[in-house]
Amino acid sequence: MIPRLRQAFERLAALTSRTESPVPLALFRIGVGCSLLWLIVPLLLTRVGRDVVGFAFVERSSGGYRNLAGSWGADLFGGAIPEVIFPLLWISALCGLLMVVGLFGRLPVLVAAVATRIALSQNMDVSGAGDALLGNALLLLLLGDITATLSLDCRWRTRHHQPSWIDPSPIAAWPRQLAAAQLCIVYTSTGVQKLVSMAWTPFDGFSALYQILQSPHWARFPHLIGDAGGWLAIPFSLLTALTITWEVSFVVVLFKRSLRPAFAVVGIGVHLGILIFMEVGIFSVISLAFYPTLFSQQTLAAARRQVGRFRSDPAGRTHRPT
Amino acid sequence: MDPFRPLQRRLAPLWSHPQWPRLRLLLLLLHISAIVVVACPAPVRSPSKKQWEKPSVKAEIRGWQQRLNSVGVRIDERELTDFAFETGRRWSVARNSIVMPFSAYLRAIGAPQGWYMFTAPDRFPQRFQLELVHDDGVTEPVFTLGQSHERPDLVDPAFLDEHRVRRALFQTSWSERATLFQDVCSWFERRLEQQVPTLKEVHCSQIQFQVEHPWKIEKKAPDKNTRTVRVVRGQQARPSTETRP
Repeated sequence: MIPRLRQAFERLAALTSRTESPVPLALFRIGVGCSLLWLIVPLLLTRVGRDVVGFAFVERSSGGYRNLAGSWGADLFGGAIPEVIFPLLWISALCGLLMVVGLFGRLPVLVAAVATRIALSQNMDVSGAGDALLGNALLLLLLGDITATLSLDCRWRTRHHQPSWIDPSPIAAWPRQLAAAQLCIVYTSTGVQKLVSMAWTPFDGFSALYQILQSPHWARFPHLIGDAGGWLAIPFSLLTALTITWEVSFVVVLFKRSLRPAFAVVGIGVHLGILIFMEVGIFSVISLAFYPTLFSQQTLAAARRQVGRFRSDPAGRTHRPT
Repeated sequence: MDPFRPLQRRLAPLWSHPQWPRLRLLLLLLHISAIVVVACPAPVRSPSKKQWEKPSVKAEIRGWQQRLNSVGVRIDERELTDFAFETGRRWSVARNSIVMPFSAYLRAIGAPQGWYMFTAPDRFPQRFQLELVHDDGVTEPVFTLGQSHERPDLVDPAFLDEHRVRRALFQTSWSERATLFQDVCSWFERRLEQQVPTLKEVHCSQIQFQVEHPWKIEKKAPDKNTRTVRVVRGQQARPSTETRP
């Protein structure tokens, strides 16, 4: 038993010692930077956004709707007041921009993680899964060499011999693998929790999305269902069935890499649906930012082989040599 | 341009140590264990049974009870509620004792793992409604969330569409903290006070309604005004005793 465990441990240690193309992690960095900008810029540059900050993230005595619990981070600068929260949000936005262009390595990630957390964790009542996933993404980005390629850092590093935006030198694979594992845990965990409700099961006709999309709190078009006069029942039931199956089984992609492209395609569809029909902040955008971490060159090669095999024999029969 | 590179170079001997891959794997396994354990569902998030009296939760329990009865398990709604609550509570107590050190670690590094997203549809959601009362006693509607915007000049519909605002309004209908509803209403009063010189009072209400089910043709419960808060200009919010149809 113990020798087998030791063997497994050594195999895993070898697996996490692998190196690979830096492109997936660079795309993850760019995606997270864009998500951060998507979250922060409207809060800073639009009148409604500034109103929202004043409503949700500052103390009642400074214009907010409730007394906040306070945090050491904000208290350090003078409390949850507009004069503290807005500069922190500006810093976050600047860091988001630096992450997109890939300047100063992991420094903007670290600063963004601290500034965003202080500014947006003042009122957890208005915080959602998008904020939590952003926190996780920023932490994961701190672990890898994220500006190795597709970055201004890369251009600066290679300026002496042959200036280039792209540097194919391999980097450690484990930060990307960890990010992929995190995404699997998010989807599988949320899927398993949904199984307590009949509405997500065939027992209630997969009625969940049809009902959720009538909510005045989450639906972008709460009248859509009522105005459609019932014909959306079947499409939304099918989408509910697809969503719950996809979420619960997402963990499979950790072990079966060739399935990742198919799961990713469904995921893109699900998140586009959420973006169109629901108002849940940046959850979809930040989730999609994780998708490049599902793919290494090996994964893509495995998927290509699978597609090639399917094309040559659509019935899926395997031909054994006699 | 990467300020971390000099640090990385200084730590290079550590990375090239023969035991480093094993140590790194141990750290990774610890981190993954922490996120798996903390992401594990907590069926009862609140120790109070008050949430279980909400019509959405009761409808869910009723659905499962009917399903169980149909397969021969004789249990009534009250028994199933008690069973589910007690099982959930025990699960939560056990889970919390295991999760505590891991969640402290994840909180410290800023990686929370609560992935509760639309666990069940709210079959009886509540619309937040805001009305203002002028000096002459005339009541004027301002907005009803997800339904109408009578005075977009006073409260911008885009503001109400923002997910942080919606989340706050959702909390006023779902949270056990009664003061939250009063806090939000007071905020609207403070805002309207600056824009409406004739403002005398602000009324905030929660209008509960039943959503349509795609397959069941059922008699829908009538809309119900579950709570109203009155805020007299410049005063503290207080729950109103008046009930309106």
